[in-house]
Amino acid sequence: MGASAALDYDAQLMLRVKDGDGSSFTELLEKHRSPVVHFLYRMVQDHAVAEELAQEVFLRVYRSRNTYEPTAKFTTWLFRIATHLALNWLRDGKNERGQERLDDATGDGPVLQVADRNVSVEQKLLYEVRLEEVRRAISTLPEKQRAAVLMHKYEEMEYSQIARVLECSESAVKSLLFRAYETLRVRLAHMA
Amino acid sequence: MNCPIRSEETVDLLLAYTARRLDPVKSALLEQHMDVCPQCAEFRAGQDFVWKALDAWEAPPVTPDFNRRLYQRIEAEAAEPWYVRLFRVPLAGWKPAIPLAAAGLLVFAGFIYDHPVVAPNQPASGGTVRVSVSEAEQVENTLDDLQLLRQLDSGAAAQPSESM
Repeated sequence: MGASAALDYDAQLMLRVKDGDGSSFTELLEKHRSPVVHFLYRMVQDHAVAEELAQEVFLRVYRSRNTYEPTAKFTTWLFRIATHLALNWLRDGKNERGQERLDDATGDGPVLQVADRNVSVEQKLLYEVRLEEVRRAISTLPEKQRAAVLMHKYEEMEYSQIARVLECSESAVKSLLFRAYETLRVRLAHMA
Repeated sequence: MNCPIRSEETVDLLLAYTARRLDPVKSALLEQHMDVCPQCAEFRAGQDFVWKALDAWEAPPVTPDFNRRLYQRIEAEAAEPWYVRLFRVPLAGWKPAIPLAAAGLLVFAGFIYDHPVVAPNQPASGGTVRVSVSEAEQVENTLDDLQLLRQLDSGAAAQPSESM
């Protein structure tokens, strides 16, 4: 990305942060806080850890303000930091924490998001069971496939952007997604 | 139309279709194809189900004090001495450097072992003579000076008695 006219708005905001404009950082934070926390939550499946990692993401963004160069979309850079932190966290303590999380029947997600007051207890339980199945299916995906699916499904990122975040080719991303969705189709088939 | 499932290059068409990101013209073409291709129809049904299942998984809202905690951390970092901030390097960034540094240290230790550091060489013999000569001259001059001073002292001590 060369000319400043081609910069995305977020990159322009980040350049203003570089120039000492604190309100631009607040704007970036307000805009990207939820997507980053939600992405991290689905990656690590622990809300407190997700928020802690998200804090670290924005802290790193702030620390890097003086050396920031808009060589890619701001969100690509942001999600690259988030993905690296999540993958490191998973790799550092996957066995104990991952298993702990899967065995935790209560979880910390919004397990009762069904707004309808007329939903019966059985329906709620069924919903919770299905949700747990989905979470479990996602958590058993290899880390890169998981990250690719979450960025594709929830962040609605293009293949090219996912490729830049994961530092691989577009065809590799398509392959990751295809294999991941195939695994999910098989794992969730019994729920259909 | 070729079956997208049979071609890895075009399988993203189906993914884009189920993600509702395929343009209407391509979507219409793909739907026509799926009407006659049971393999693709099955893929679409399975993918639609996965898509809906994932839709149901909502993330909890961000806690209200997220920004406050972040700004507190930023302020705390800003208040730290410069040398603390200087060494605030992400540990992950150093991880690949640790084995490299260890390898470098081993190579260096091996080099030192093979090429032991010796004390600086004694100066060449010509230099030694030159230094010795200058030192001897210095000593000789000092002794001469001392003798001269003694003579002056003895002369000065003799003078008052003569004057008296």
